[in-house]
Amino acid sequence: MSTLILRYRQLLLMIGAAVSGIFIISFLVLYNNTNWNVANWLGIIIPLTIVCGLLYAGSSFPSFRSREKTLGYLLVPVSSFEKILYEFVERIVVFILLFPVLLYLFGNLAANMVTQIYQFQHEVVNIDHLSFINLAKDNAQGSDLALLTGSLAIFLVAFAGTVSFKKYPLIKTFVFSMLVFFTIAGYFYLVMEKLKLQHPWIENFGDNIRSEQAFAILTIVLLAFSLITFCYSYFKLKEKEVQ
Amino acid sequence: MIEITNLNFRYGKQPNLFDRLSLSENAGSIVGLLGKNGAGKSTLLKLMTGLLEAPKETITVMGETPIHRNPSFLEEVYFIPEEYDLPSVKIAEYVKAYSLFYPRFDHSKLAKILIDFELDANSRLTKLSYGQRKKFLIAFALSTNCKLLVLDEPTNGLDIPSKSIFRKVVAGSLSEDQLVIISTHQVKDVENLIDKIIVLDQGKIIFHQSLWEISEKYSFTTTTNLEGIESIYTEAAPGGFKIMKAANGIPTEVDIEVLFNAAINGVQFK
Repeated sequence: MSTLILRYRQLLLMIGAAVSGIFIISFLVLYNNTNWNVANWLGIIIPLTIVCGLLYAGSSFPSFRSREKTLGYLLVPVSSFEKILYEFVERIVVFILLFPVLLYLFGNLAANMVTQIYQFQHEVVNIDHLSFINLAKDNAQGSDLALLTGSLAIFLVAFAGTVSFKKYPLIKTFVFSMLVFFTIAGYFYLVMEKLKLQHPWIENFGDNIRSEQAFAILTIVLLAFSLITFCYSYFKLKEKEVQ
Repeated sequence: MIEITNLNFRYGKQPNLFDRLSLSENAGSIVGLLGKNGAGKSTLLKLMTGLLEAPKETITVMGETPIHRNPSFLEEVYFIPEEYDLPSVKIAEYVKAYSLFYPRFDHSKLAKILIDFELDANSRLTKLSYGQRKKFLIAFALSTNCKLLVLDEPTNGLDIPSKSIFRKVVAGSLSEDQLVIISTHQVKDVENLIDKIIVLDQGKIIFHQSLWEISEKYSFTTTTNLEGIESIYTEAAPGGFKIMKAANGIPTEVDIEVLFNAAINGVQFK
């Protein structure tokens, strides 16, 4: 509550920026693509959600960007767990709940406006409105949950970066994550390809598994990764010092 | 209230800033923490408030380990750092947001101190001058009624009338269960306020006495001629000398500046 009193201006500005971004991008894309079905919306939704979510989660713990603010924040009489939980809810949970609503409202507003403009010019357009229910119908079973946990995992990495890095946390987290990713990928490439360490279980893994099972495994892995990342953020916050 | 035992502390690979430093301080005092630049005053304050981690079991404040930053501990500690950042909100909004965290926050005391400092509750914090913001923080800190108030250079940026009001409000706002630690270079600003002095030098506490004890043991005076005077410590001053000598039964006002210089220059106190 206290944070909301102090941050309401920034929050309103961020919501305004997100709404403008959704509307302008949807409008421009639809204006240039008048044959637009429900599945095409994924091309707008996924990049917008990831970019906006990363920017929002990557600006968590704004107090840690300066020494003076860090000092004040750490001395607020609230436990580290409450602090991280509040930030997690505000920066990730609220985003995951609110952003689809904004996408639905302002994406469809843009679709309506584009349709009206073309109809005014007596031109025929075939633009399907955004419907999450229809989108979910076409997807493989379990893919929605995997997508959700995937988004959660990505946002939590950005979130953890804001506790760890003082300046430019999003850029530094991105560089660091890429380094880790390529190191692991390079290692497995070496093991599998160059050293010819092949195993029938690995080779046949893709053939013996159904898509639902694959999505379920992916979801569990992503959830475990998210939990580890959240714990890492918590302990980083707990041991934070001001030098 | 504060127990520090054999504290060793250093930043990274730098040499020890504190070398087996020990200190014990109880509630009911206003303590002046003095030391040269880089002596570690701010670091000591951060260690006491849990902003820096001290080696295990070397610091306890109100029976708790500060670095754990338990809410019950933080509710009783208010720290005004030398440099701070305040949000762009009105004083009243800030108070509404943060007073909730301090169970013994006294709104009427705050209103009174704000009047003393000539601050308007509808002023936006970022529109205030550095000194006005500092006055607001002092007012807020005193109104929290925290058991431990830690003020790092509180008079920096305050104009001359405000310094006098500062002394008045601090002296008039405290109760016996509170301890105030004031770290400052401006000894004149706190001369009639503090009742104990701690001098920190080369990683150790070299002086820790109450002003009452000092005024009983020593007298402070000025002279143009040192001949025939048995002084403990002397330093040149415009037009003559400042002297610290053994008390002769007539209590004098303690010259903290002279006392500090004497301590730093190796004078052994009784």
